[in-house]
Amino acid sequence: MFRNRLSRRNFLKKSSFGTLSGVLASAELIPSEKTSSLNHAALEDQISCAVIGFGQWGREISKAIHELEDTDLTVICDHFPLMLRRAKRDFPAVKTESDYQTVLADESITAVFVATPTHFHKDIVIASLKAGKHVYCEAPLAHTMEDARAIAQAARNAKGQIFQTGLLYRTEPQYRSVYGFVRSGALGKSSMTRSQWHYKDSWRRPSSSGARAEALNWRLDEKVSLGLVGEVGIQQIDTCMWLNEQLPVAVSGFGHVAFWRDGRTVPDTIQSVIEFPSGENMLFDATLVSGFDAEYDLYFGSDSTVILRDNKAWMFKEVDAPQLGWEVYARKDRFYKETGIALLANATKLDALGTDPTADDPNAKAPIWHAIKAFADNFNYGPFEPVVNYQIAYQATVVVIKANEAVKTGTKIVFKPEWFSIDG
Amino acid sequence: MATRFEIVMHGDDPVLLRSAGEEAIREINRIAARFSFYDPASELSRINRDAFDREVFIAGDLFELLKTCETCWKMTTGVFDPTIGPLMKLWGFGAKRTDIPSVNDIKMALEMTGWQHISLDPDKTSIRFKTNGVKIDLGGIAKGWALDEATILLREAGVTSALLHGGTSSIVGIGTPPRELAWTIGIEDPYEKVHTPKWFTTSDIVDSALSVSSIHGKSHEVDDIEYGHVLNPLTGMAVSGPYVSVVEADSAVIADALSTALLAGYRPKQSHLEQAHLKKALIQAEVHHKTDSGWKLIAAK
Repeated sequence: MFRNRLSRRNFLKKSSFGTLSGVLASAELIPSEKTSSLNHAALEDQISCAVIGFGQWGREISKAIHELEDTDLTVICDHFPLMLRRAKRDFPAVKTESDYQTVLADESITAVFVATPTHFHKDIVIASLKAGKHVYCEAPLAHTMEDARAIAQAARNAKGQIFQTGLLYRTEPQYRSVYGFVRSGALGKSSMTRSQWHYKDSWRRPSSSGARAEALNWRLDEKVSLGLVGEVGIQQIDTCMWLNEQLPVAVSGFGHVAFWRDGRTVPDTIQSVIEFPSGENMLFDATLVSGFDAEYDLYFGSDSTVILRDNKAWMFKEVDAPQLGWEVYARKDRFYKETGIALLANATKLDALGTDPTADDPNAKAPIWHAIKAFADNFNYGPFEPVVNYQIAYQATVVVIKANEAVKTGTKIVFKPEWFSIDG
Repeated sequence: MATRFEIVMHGDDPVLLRSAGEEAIREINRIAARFSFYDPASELSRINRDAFDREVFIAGDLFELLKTCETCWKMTTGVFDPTIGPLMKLWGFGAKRTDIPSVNDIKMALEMTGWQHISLDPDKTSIRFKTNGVKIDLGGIAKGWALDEATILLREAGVTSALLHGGTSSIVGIGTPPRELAWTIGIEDPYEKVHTPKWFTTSDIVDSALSVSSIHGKSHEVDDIEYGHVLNPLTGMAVSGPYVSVVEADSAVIADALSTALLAGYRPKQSHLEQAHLKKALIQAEVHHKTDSGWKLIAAK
């Protein structure tokens, strides 16, 4: 596998893009990034990518790979023919394959994106790394500590191969901006985090075939599912671990089937308290019963509270907090009886360009787009340690595996330090 | 699409029906986000922003939809045309006005209107605009497309009896309701303020789609003439009658496109019935409601 791909073509490509963006700034409220005029298929140094698993999320990953000019969506692999028919319709030029071993044997494939159900990750990821592929694996890494450890060990041993996981907010520009903001002490003394994920949905996938329905509904199978706290909550819990720069010391959980009484045992409503050594605990709740107020994270501090939602962020100041120089000029939004100061990732840049930071951003991209862009940049300009490497992914996976145990048993689990060690 | 979608399903397994309906609604929401004319980050906005400057590569299903637009544009000899963005902006149906645009302004907007300014490359699934200022607005058919996609998912999940609609104007019937021969769709009189149990007209559908278009709603009244929000892309003028059209076809996207075109002056030839899997096309014959003399059957299989 070749690395250090800052080729002349890539260098020129990136340079001209930067110039173009600058020139366009005066023409629109917010400068629009222009898509490449180059034919995707003609680019020599595109990363040839395979997506394994074309469910709902595999489709979004495929779309992002297709949109990026650095990546070429070459193969989509799924063992259900219906999914391959859907893949062919979405991406007519892409090859489809039902056996992932065939994909791994294809030497023209450089990178593999694993978007299968969590409990299938281990075999596919380890085989992909063994085949010399760069690997992007969805989070959580696995449904058991043993599998997660095996994946992390394989990634650690695969020198010179990129291994990145789908903990999306660590590569999302708005969240990265807030990370710097929080770490600079703008919250004052941090006190706690409260996060929620609310979505009215049965979490069940339909199929006219019984066997297929069983396979599709792995998230409702308690033998392999990490439940809401693992399959959904890992994104917000990892963000809290990242912003706090701490590993938790204990986790408590509660959960029950409140509404979807269709024979399932995996709770449709859960609460979890994740304790950090500094006492800045996180309260996370998730439900499939009510969609009210959707998804957000609140980081509370003695000077201010920050809310993150829809890839946007606002700060709410306490009356006794010191005034920050820039806040006079910042955009402010009303939230019921509170006024939030918008924290915009590129506000300074936009202001310098004489543009309006309050306008909708035509360049807005989904978090998955940024995650794959980070993967591609590592390939082209690296090697460097991925922002979301095997260690970070392993630790987050351990936390949600234990959080799910706590939810299922209604108990408190104290983390043993050796659990966070890849070598056990 | 900024409209409400609803699905009614019949079957023996309520758990399956619920999950099938959820999957269908998720897909509709996904399409609404991707094809939004107003969200600057949508796939459609990316095309409108970039396609004159450079070739834009798009997903296969969006390409399929644009090819359908092209087919309908050709079939209606340009009466159905999703590039009417500049004209719609000129007429400004979002606000009330007491005049109509000047001939000169209409002429300028027409220069940026017309599918002939669009170039689609099926090998690369890409699009290019030949003229600066062209904008595609899929508002006229996105509902139908979303319903067709939702219908595919419902059928794949094993649903055999369902009714789907978007904003009550685009409708798909899968199979029939229990113990009935068809889904009977009542069409309201858009000018009737008081609800009466008597429908304007009704249409029975089985495994087919129905689209109802009307000039009423967003419109301007100038000199006692109502100019509705349906435009004739060939003349640049807003339509003032007939005021309701109904099309039944195999697919909702075709029904949507042709019901709009009917109001704007398109009259299908017999050959179009086969080409577009068209089953029936009706218009309310008279311009003014007060002198209404009933429906005119334009074409039928």
